Amino acid sequence: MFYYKKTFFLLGMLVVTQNYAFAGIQGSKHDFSGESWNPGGNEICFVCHTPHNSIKTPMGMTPPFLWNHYFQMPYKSYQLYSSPTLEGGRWNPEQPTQGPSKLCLSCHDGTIAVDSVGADISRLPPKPKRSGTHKITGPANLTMNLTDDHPIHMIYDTALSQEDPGLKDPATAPSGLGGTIQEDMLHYPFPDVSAKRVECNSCHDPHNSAGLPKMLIKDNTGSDLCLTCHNK
Amino acid sequence: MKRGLRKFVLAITAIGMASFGLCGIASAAIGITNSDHDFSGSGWSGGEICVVCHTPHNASGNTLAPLWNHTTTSQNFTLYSSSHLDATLGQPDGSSKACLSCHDGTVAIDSFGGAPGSTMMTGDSKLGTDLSNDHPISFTYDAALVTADGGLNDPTAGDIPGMLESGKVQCSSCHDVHNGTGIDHLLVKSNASSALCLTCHNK
Repeated sequence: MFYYKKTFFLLGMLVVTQNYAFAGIQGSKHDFSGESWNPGGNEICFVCHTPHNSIKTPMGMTPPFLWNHYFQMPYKSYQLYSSPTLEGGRWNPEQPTQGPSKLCLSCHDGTIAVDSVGADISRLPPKPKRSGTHKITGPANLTMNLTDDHPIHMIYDTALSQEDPGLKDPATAPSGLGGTIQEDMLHYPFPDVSAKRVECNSCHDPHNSAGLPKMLIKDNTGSDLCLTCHNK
Repeated sequence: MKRGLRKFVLAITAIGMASFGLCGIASAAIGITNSDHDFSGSGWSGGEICVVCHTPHNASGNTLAPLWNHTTTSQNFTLYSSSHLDATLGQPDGSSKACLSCHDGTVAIDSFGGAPGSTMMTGDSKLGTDLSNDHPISFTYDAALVTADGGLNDPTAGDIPGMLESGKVQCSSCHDVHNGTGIDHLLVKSNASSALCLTCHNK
């Protein structure tokens, strides 16, 4: 009996160790270095980032993080989430015309191939420098219809938590990651730094730092991630 | 049995020859000669390689690079910026300023030894004076930056110390102007599986 316990303990340790082994971009679902269609050959970062000549828009905008993945130019509108329980006004989810979610959606709305990189803006409309064919399929393809997805690009501040008692105050409630919700989970849609918002990377880390399923930023056992913000 | 042995010897010989051949190809590509920085085939170089950047006598006195011979850029550059940037960026300095003396596209490649030159850089190698869409350079990468950022590796560990110039990230952190490795884009090390990026970035 004792030995069984020991075996289970060791097996448990193995699972835990394995989980940690997968933390990081390497070997994650965002590591395309082994794919024949990868425009960067055997590189990982190049599908999203480039050290030189990152994308600029014809309007002169430079997305953050040395962005290299093609996105829709000109911008096409998404169907946004709506609900009678949303507080409305300045807290409504808005078109993600800028900010981190726009970058995620440049693959995850299913309209642009994962292997479409760079932007040639010398002509209008612009075109990818390298046009690919490998589009996202399955549940990871959110499509242009975001009405069935958790709202994003949405201001979440103390005032919202006062309007909606179902939400915690992001300025004081802990994220469970070391700081507050506002510090660890909300993001400015760079270059606009007027208000922090809920974006895709409020829940997901595209670089898989935590090594959790779905690239979550924290474990969702007991719906811990949901209940970080939602006061239910 | 004998036939088997002969086959074995032949196979070993073939493998040996093949690897020798591969080594031969790789070594031929190492070094400045025949690299992207070898302009000896261009009419304006006078058939030399080094003179575009260096001269043994009467150098400019500018210490950007040893015995610097190329006209130095005088541009004010638009710097990289990001809400996630913790480093303090200044105007390009150190050897990066030497690199930009061709790669900003404002100084002719053949502007050396006092000649004005007229051959301007074109294509993707021309970064321009707007560096906002290029990886930041000329910033100190130290323990304080690592603490502030959270996504960077310890600069005293692994290959990083050898990649910094007086504690700073410069063009030379990723590129070897003299093509010492023979790797594409004159990289200082292979970027297979983005290993060069991940030397510093903890992702």
